[in-house]
Amino acid sequence: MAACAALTVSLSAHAVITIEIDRGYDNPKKIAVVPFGVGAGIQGLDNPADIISFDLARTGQFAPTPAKNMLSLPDQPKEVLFRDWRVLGDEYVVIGRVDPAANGNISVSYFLFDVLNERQLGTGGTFTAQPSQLRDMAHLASDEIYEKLTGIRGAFSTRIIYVLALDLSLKTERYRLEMADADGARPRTLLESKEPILSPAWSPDGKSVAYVSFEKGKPVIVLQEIGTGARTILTDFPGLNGAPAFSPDGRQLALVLSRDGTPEIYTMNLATKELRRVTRTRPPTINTEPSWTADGKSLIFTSDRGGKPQIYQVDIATGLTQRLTFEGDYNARGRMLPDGKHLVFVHRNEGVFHIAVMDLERGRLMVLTSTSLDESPSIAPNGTMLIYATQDKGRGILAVVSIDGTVKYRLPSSVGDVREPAWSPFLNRTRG
Amino acid sequence: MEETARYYGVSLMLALLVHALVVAMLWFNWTPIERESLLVKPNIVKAQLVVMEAPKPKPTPKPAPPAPPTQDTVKPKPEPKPEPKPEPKVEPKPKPVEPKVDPKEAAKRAQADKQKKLDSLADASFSDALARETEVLAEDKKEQAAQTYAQGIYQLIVANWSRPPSARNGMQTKLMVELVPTGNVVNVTIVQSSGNEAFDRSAEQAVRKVGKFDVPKDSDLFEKYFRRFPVLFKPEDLLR
Repeated sequence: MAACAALTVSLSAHAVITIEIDRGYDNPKKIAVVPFGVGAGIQGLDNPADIISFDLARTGQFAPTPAKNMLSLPDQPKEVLFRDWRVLGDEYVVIGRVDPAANGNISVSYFLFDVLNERQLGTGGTFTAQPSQLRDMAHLASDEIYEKLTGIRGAFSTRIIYVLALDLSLKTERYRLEMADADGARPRTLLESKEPILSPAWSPDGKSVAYVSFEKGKPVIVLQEIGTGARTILTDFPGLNGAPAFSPDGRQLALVLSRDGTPEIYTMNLATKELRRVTRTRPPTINTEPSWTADGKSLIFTSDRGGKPQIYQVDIATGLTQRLTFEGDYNARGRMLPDGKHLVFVHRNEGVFHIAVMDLERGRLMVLTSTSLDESPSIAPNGTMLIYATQDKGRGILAVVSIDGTVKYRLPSSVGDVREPAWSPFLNRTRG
Repeated sequence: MEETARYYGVSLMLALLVHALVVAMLWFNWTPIERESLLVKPNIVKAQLVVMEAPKPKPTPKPAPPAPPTQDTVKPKPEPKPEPKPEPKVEPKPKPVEPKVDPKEAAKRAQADKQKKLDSLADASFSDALARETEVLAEDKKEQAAQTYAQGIYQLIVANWSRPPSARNGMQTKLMVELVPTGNVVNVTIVQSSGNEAFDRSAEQAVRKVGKFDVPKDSDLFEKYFRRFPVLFKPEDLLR
């Protein structure tokens, strides 16, 4: 109707019709990732096309064309016939090659094409690394392709950490801090302990993690370098030491200590170890689960100071505190999206725990997940997806949901009980 | 002529009534202010005359739409009429002496002349209006047809426009779309970018995806509106 009005107006003005398109249908983009050509002497490796296809499909924003439907399998730009792809309804085509390089390395190169406009997009890319890093190279290609096509930085070459509990309630009960690719592939153990591990958090440079360990029979906060495995105990105060969260600049840690009676939020200067108390409440109030806003000036935290757990925001400099959530009788573990306008948290509705996102400007709340006992949401660095822990047949598993709630998938886990995922920041790995 | 006579009779009766009223008012020493306010009433008489004119043209024209223009052309007519009023006004005074017969004849003739003038005026303005109307109608028809085709183009593009997730309400991309008379898209150029490459491309792709639009067979209409036309992409339905 709006368009009709617009048409009428511009018609009588000049003999020109400006057609105004005010809406659309945002379907997944059809993309063909053609199996990459493989050079002589390369064997036993995944085809990067499979990894890239899977990366793009997981976003829900792309619908890859199955290779068996393809009319041709080009691996050179000059072999791309746009008509072949247009017939299949593809909007984009990715082609590429894997070839041997010097020093036992391999190189992965790709090219991206816009079928409808019949042109190549960008210059493509080439990565060179050890054969064992094929997945890294494919994820980097996915990142570049995704950014080119959506205008949003790709987060496929990021990682996740999570706690894996094995043999719960058995004598052999043990806990592992695991790190894996964002798609759940290539898990490796950063720490194994007979005592529980809680609340893992990434440093903003992606080189360290902080977590709570019960290795001393009581909770302490530990900082561990991923590369070297070197560990430092940051806090070991009487009572609770919990919920570490790095500031965006990596210089401070927000945490919860109960050394003064009630659990309160503190910040710690990581260089000087100097502590600063941020919240001041009286027993029996609990303040916990701090996280930073993108500007590093405020903390988001959970408190039951109003009777029920709700999410608050405190300005660190002034101590000025405001309540952010009002809907429902339980809202916890708030995390701000990178845009600073949306809050993700655990929301209880009719006794069931869901992950919800709230538009802080309009106060609109949207429940993203439909399973029960959903907890520990952690947002991807590009703000498009979040990972959370949920239950499947009584076992803890990890799942991912897009911020608009339209796409959900589970990460594979073969054994044990998985909980408390944390999505890494962008990891600045350079092109080889 | 009989009709005219009958109308004349009616108006004469009304005129007499008015005169009688005026005389009565004068008789009872009514103040001039009240007379002025009463003078407004003859306007109603005029209005009745206009109503009488209206049925006459009716047999000739076919369409009802002429109504608005006719009203416009009628408006100037009230101006000539004030003349008859002053005449009767002056006469009413002699009337008490020797009423009816003489003024009747004079008024009859005057009225007839006036009616003729009015008729020809009405006819002239009516045919003018009709001519103008047909022109406008023809133009309107073309524009309506163009709008129908534009609406079709709108719907096809909307159905094929899939925005990237970075799209936000308020972004604007303007394309210039060029067609050949078969309706096939031969060229799409971005004339105003949103600043978001992915958003711009989604707009281009929407037009390319349609590939061929329904366009008018009338080559004038095609050349005028659809050989080359701008399309503005300006989403209003996004959540963010």
